[in-house]
Amino acid sequence: LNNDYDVAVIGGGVNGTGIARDCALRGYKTILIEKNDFSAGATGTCSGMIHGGVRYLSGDVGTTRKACLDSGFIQKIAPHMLFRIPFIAPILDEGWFAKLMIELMEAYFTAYDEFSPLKRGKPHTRLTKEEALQLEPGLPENIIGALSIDEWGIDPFRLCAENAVSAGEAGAEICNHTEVTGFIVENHAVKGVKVRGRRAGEIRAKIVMNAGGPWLMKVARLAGVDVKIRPGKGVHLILDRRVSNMAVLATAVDGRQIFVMPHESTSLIGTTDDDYYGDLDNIVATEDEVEYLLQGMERYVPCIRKHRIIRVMAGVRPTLYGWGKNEDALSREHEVYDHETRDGVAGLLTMAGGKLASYRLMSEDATNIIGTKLGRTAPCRTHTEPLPGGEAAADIEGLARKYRIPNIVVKRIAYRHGNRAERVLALIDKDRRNANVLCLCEPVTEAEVRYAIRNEFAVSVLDIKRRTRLGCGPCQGMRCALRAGEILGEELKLNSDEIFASMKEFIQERWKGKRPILNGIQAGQEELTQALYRNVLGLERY
Amino acid sequence: MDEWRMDADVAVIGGGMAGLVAAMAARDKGRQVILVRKGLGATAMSSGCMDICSDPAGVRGTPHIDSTDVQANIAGVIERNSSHPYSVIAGGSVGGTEMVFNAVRDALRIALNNASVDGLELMGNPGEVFALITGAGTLKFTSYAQNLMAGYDVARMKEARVLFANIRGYGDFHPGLAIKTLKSMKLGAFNLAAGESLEVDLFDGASNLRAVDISEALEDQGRCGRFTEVVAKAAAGGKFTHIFIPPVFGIKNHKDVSIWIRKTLGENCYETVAGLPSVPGMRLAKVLAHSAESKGVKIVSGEAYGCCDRDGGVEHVKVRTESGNKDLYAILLKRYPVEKLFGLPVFLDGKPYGNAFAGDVLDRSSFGEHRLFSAGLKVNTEMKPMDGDGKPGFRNLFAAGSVIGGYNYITDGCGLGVASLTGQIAGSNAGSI
Repeated sequence: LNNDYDVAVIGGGVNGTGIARDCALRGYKTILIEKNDFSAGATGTCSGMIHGGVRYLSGDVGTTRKACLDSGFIQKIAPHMLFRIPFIAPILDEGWFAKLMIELMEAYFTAYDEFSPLKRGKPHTRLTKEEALQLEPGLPENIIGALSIDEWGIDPFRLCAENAVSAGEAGAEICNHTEVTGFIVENHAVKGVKVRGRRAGEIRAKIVMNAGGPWLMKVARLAGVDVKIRPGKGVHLILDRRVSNMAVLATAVDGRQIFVMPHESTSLIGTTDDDYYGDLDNIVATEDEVEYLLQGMERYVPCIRKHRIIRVMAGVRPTLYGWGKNEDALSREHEVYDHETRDGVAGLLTMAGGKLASYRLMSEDATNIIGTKLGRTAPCRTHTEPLPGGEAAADIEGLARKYRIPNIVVKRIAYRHGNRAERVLALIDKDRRNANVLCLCEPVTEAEVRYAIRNEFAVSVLDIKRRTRLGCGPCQGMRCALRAGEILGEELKLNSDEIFASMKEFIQERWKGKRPILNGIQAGQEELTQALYRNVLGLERY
Repeated sequence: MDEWRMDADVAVIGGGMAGLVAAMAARDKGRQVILVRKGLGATAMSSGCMDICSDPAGVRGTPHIDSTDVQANIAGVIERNSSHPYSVIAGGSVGGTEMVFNAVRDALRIALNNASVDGLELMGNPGEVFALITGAGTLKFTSYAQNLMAGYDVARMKEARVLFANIRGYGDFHPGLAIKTLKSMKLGAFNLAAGESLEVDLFDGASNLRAVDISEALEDQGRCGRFTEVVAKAAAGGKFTHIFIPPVFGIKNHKDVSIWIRKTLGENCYETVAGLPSVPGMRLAKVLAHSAESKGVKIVSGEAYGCCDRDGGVEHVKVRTESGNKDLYAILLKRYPVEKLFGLPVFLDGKPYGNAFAGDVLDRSSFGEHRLFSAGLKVNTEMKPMDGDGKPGFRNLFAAGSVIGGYNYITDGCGLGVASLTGQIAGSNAGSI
């Protein structure tokens, strides 16, 4: 194995995988290093939106334009993973200000209409109370009207995985579950990294790009460099079904904007934004955060508490540093720090801030800087070159007939794999048992699990969950852990200790999201899940 | 809604192990008994094995059990946890251990004898904890198991040659994993000399079959015979010392199916233990309900939703038959755990629950203690639940099974033991009024 690279990218979030892909497509010899798994940090706990940056319109029209343009590019390279999310902003009848509010918002959205065609967005509409209630019957009676805008959603887990797979196919070395423990520093210049985990030893690289997300401060410190960010904790509630037709915008008790949004077979309620000082490797939501979101949402969707919350997801944003501002008012822009000019440490760059929606553009920016540092020029191709599976649409009905499995199962596979769905389904031809559905909630087939292990760097049950949504449905992984664990063991030739450790890691991660929302009959159902894992299977002894 | 009224000496709410044993105990006192139930109860979702006191506290962290002596385990529980129903019944003293043990044994005997009338033989010994192999090759510790599930001693399986024979389409049996687990298992003289697996296609290649559907289909001798034929061929010539099959061989007709299996595949063929959805749990619940009925207990399908009381006694229980209510549990978590039917206070660790968030009494680790699951009613030695002043809430109200707090069957391994014992005491006290 040749250990000399042009670029070593640290971090497997959307920035890290995006940069690795860009570098690899430009022909730079690249290695991607992630201590956990792709999208295991901030990216995996985001709202999954490829929006056009409507909120930047008041300050920076250029940002909105760029965001819309880039959203359009992402639709071209990954059409299979994108889905339209119409937003509705109902205006509650709360005094004289409401009428003014709806006019102000309409003026704002009218300005946005100029850019939304860049991302194939439809122009905004102004809705009367009756029209709004017809479109979204869950809204309350006390609205004076509503406005709608058009945005796009994406599966952030797949986005990272496919960027990583694409980088790999373009020649990059992909190392998840590999942690950077230090830097190789010679004459005040970073010459590479020391790693442990699935890959251990020293990796030499001309440029090291720190895209560690919320962990970037820790990574920079390993090189003796201080970078500041304002880590902001964000919490989402996940409901067991799509509770609204459109995403509904609401105002929380402190005036912040929150939403409930259909996503896959679930709905997301998000989000909070609070300075975070705790353990980045164990971010836990609290009952107060759950209540804050529900309380804010129920004024706009009164039945919201009747729905089943299956999980709370908590993550930390690597927001750019700023003093004297509320969390919400901090810039969502990104910055690439050149530690040579900034701190006198050559060979090291840090990418901070940013947002999922513009990841591609930010990766392009970072890769341009890397190119300059390397003294090489190559054009960016990430806006034209499709992500794996994005080359063409899959023929869902044809595939369902050919492989004799239900349309819905093929549809889910095609959503995640685009026209590579056939590669997944081909495993069913080899062995019919691969048509077994391991996770009944979502439905995830044995074929897709094997494909994730063989082709998408999945080495644990949690990795499989990130690739396939195994265990993401209402039961939150009651029986699929064992089934996936058995297959993982078979594919990777693991012994039982390794299999059980992986299963328990998955069970623990599911539990982390259930504990703050356990209420009503779910508490009783959780007791049964616990009885299965502990009293019957006795997993804690293994 | 049509209104109707039924009269009985004793009304039992709940059709799980505790309710059924209580109903039978009251019936044994010569009383008219009506039992109201919504479904089959949690017993139907259990493994169908009977845990009396497996002491997983001593087991935690090791692949084997430290104490297989039930009586010693009960003494340990009484010493550690004064709120545990076994402690309450023992009068809070370890000296009461033997009395508790004898009482559980007697209570279980009632259940066992009644089950065996329908051909469900529960094998085991009340004084002993033994190990059973699950579909993942892990061990489940218990004291009684059904016909096909019991009869082998893992600790003596020296040079074991094991065959795991599954049915295609059944997803909760994991031969590949089970063989690996057994390979690295250390328990007594156990060691795995050979492990193989096979899958028999009985349903035309169908996948994602439900355990209940499979078990009903296997009550057909022809289909069951197709399974045994394939397995017998693979196991010919004494190739295997043990054959493990998934626990889906019949519900109603389990007795006959067991006989066919043993006749064709030999005495060394066993059903493994499985969790939800559990056919053995369903067998147990159905058989006990059947014997309660044949003893004259009237079983009514419906949901108790309220009560009328007079002079400190429960006058009658309101029942509705329409479905749709999701408040399935006697102790329901509505931000805080509540008991809604009689408005009794819920206790945790012997004290009123208070206003803690559920998350405060649940551990961060999935495999933690989770005190929330031991919240419940506090009872006196008669099984009368207490009000906020520590006095019996009603003169004629009794509690049994998981509605009682102080124990967590998941970690204590005593679910059906406590259910039968408290059911027996509550039922005979109610029948003696």
